[in-house]
Amino acid sequence: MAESPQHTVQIMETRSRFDLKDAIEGWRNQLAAQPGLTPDNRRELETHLQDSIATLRRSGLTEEESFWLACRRVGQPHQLAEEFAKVDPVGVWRDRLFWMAIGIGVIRLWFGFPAYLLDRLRFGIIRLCAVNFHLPDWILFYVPLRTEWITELMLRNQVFGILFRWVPLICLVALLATGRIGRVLSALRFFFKTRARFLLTAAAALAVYYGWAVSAAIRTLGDAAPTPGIPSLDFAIQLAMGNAIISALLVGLIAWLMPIGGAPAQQA
Amino acid sequence: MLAKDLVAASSKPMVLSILAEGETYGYEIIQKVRDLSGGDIEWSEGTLYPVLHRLEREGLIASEWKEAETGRERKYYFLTSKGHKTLKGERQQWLKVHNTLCKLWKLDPVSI
Repeated sequence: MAESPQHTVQIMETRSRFDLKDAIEGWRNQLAAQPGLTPDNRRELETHLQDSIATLRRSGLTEEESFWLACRRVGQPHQLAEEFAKVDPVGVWRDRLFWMAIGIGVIRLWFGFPAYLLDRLRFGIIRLCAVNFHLPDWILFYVPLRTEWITELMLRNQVFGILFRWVPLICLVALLATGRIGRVLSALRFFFKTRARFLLTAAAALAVYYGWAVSAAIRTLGDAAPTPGIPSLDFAIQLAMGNAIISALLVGLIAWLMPIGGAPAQQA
Repeated sequence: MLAKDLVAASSKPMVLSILAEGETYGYEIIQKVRDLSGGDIEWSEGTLYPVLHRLEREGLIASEWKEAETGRERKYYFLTSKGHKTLKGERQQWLKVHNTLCKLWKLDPVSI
């Protein structure tokens, strides 16, 4: 069905009314489409644009005029991105590698300690099901739930196991991409403020974690007689040491690639 | 107007010198350079920010997001101790060039 002419006019009127917020939003999106600019670069350029608009407004221009003039002065998004990348072509890759290293670190962390906790959680749930899962027979008649199925699903179903490990990571990536966990990230920024702080925190965390892993291995495997299928204590300690070395190397790599400046100067 | 090469070469000592006077942000740096040069040196955003970021990576300056009086956040840059040292060296080099040219043009050199 065709729209009435009156309706079209109304739409055009709304469209022609200039909204500074919308305009800046559009500009921001254009900027976000440039690969060479980091979120921090974009935020900085946006504050610059807003300062520019504010100055032009004070000199008597309208909101719309100020916006367009400020945009012209700041420059086209793709030109800006080119200029940013030109000065530091290696930096773009450095930045990417930094995030890749962080990603590998997160995956290692996730598959390490929390995965262990989640395994315990899984066994807990299964044990709970085995002991207390006694629904009245008439419910089970209509809803054919069986404890064995849950046990089967959690323990032996490989698809479930893989989903269990990867889905939370994929959710994390999705949350990051939509900017939903910005606050968590800015809280984490505290640890990335200086290289020394990051290295100290990471070294303490690694010492606690691998210390715990080795002591757990000694506790569980120390007195056990050699059994086929169960790793020996030496093997478990070697494994922990190897993993600790890789983690330490990864931490070193992250610290090296970290995008930070020096300490503030003492004012003379 | 200044030649492009000269604008690029002088950007480092100029940014360091401006930050030596106290912390500031990109927009203000561009305004300041425009005012001090009487409009002869007009830096664009595409020139300034990459320079700032490079100097930051070299450890000569550092930055911090801070809230201004207006309530808006801005990224403030300040000089590091390494930056102070580099500025001293830069200053000497530029004055050497300046003095050599002054002697050639029969002008009074400045003391370094």
